[in-house]
Amino acid sequence: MNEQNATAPQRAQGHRSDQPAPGQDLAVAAESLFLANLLLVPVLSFAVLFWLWRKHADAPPLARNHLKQTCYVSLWGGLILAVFTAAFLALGGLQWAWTWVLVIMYFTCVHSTLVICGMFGLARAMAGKPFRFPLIGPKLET
Amino acid sequence: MQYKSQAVAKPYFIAAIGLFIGQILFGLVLGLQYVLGDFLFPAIPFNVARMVHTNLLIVWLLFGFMGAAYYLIPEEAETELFSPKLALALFWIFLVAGALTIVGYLTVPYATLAQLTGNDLLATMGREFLEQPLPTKLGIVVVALAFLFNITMTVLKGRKTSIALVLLLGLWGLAVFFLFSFYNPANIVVDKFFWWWVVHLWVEGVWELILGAMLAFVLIKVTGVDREVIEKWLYVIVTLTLITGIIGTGHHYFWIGTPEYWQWWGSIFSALEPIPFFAMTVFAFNMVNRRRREHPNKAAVLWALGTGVMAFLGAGIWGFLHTLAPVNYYTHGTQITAAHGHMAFYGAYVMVNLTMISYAMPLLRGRAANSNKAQVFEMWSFWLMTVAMVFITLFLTAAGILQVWLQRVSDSPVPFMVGQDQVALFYWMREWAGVAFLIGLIVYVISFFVKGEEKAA
Repeated sequence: MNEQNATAPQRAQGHRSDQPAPGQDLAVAAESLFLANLLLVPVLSFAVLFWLWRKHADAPPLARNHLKQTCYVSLWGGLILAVFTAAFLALGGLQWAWTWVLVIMYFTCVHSTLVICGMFGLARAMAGKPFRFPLIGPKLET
Repeated sequence: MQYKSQAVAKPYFIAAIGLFIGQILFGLVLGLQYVLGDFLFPAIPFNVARMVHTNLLIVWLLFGFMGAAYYLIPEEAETELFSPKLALALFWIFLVAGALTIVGYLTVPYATLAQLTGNDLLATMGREFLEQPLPTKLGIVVVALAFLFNITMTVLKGRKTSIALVLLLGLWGLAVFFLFSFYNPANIVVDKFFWWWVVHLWVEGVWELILGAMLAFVLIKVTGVDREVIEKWLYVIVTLTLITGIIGTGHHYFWIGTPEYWQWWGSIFSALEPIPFFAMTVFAFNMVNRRRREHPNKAAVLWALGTGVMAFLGAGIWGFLHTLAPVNYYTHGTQITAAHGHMAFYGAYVMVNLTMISYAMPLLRGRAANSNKAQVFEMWSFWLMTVAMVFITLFLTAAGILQVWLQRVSDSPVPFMVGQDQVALFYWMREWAGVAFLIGLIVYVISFFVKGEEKAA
């Protein structure tokens, strides 16, 4: 059963049977790569994620949802992390205590938020449900 | 409530909440003493307030764990508790002993207390978190052994589930590792080495097993997901906890005089310590996403989910922040440690106890869930306390980073107390966040008295 064939409550609530939903493996892989990009192997994990997104253009909606969300948020998240951190360092200089207070606090908070959101996404993918990252995730396709 | 003897959990939960209030009040006193050094001096000196704050935390969490075990074990074992009378007797013994200890801290100078309580016979006092007088320590051992006897006998006569066995493993571990508090060698390196066997192997070892078992129990009840699925997760979490946490003890051995290889072992294994908390969060959210029923106790579900997230942030992320030896070289013993300690204890152990209390208390009071109105109060208390704790952690982290710079990185390092003056702004902000936390706790207590239409058990 794919998203199109699902009943309205099933679409709204996501997949509930014990069988994996179509595209669930890919959805889980997308969220795992998103987290790996943040925690273990940056850049390389994103490269694989991006490749998966491009390769599986006609994957089931669940997989497309998670691939699109994680790719967009990896890009935006990376940008938000890098640009502001660089700006704080450039403006404050390396020899000022407050630069480090701001940079470490900023990086830790934003990075942790992205990780927590990725964990929510992974839990949703494992349950066969779609997910939208708060604030910077693209709108869900209806 | 399925078994009559589960009722013995109730006084444990009530005492836990009472002591929790005491802990927070002393936390606020301490917070003020950071910025107004003479506040309540000499009535309550800083060292005494700190001792009461941390000891109350430990004792109320133990009350919570014991209450949770008395509630959980009969239901898991599908039989009445081996001896409800013993459980109630132990409650009063533990409560009176704990109260006397706190009164002792507050009314007698610590050195005199040591003299009066036989510390010269077996010196165990004077060490952080293990300040309890010898009779209290012996009392803890007696209470713990009798408690373990009671719940182990219950499991032995009933059904043996993974949750019950993991909980037993955690609780037995708790008792066994506490025995190292009686070992106080003259060599301070050896002393510290084994001191961590109590402190670290509790909170980053066996307590995590207790946490996992309690969370798994509540999740089975509120989500209706198959026990087999939840038990598989629990096995994974237990394995990850033990693999990372035991050798992860090495992150405390970087600078105490132990061999240098601990810097490698400690760094590598403690860098892996966030993994079980990661698994716990994904586990909790995955189970709720796959739930097969809408449990009327929404507040308990919220506490369960919050436990995963806050434990991962506090114990996982904030622990990792300063756990690698080259980083810890600068951050050791600063406010960054305090930030980690606050969020980790709250996220992991305070919240899991509140999860259990939230789930069990309505049932102990004869209903499946509290009224919607009462649950709204409880959920407000969740957000107030949790957001307040996030801010406490952020302010302490900022204070810690500044402290590291001022004392340890700057070309012209300043003495400790000069540095403290310069981070006072963050201490004030932490104090206000602490007030918000207290308000959250008051709302939590009020939620127990809010009436409304309750769901029948």
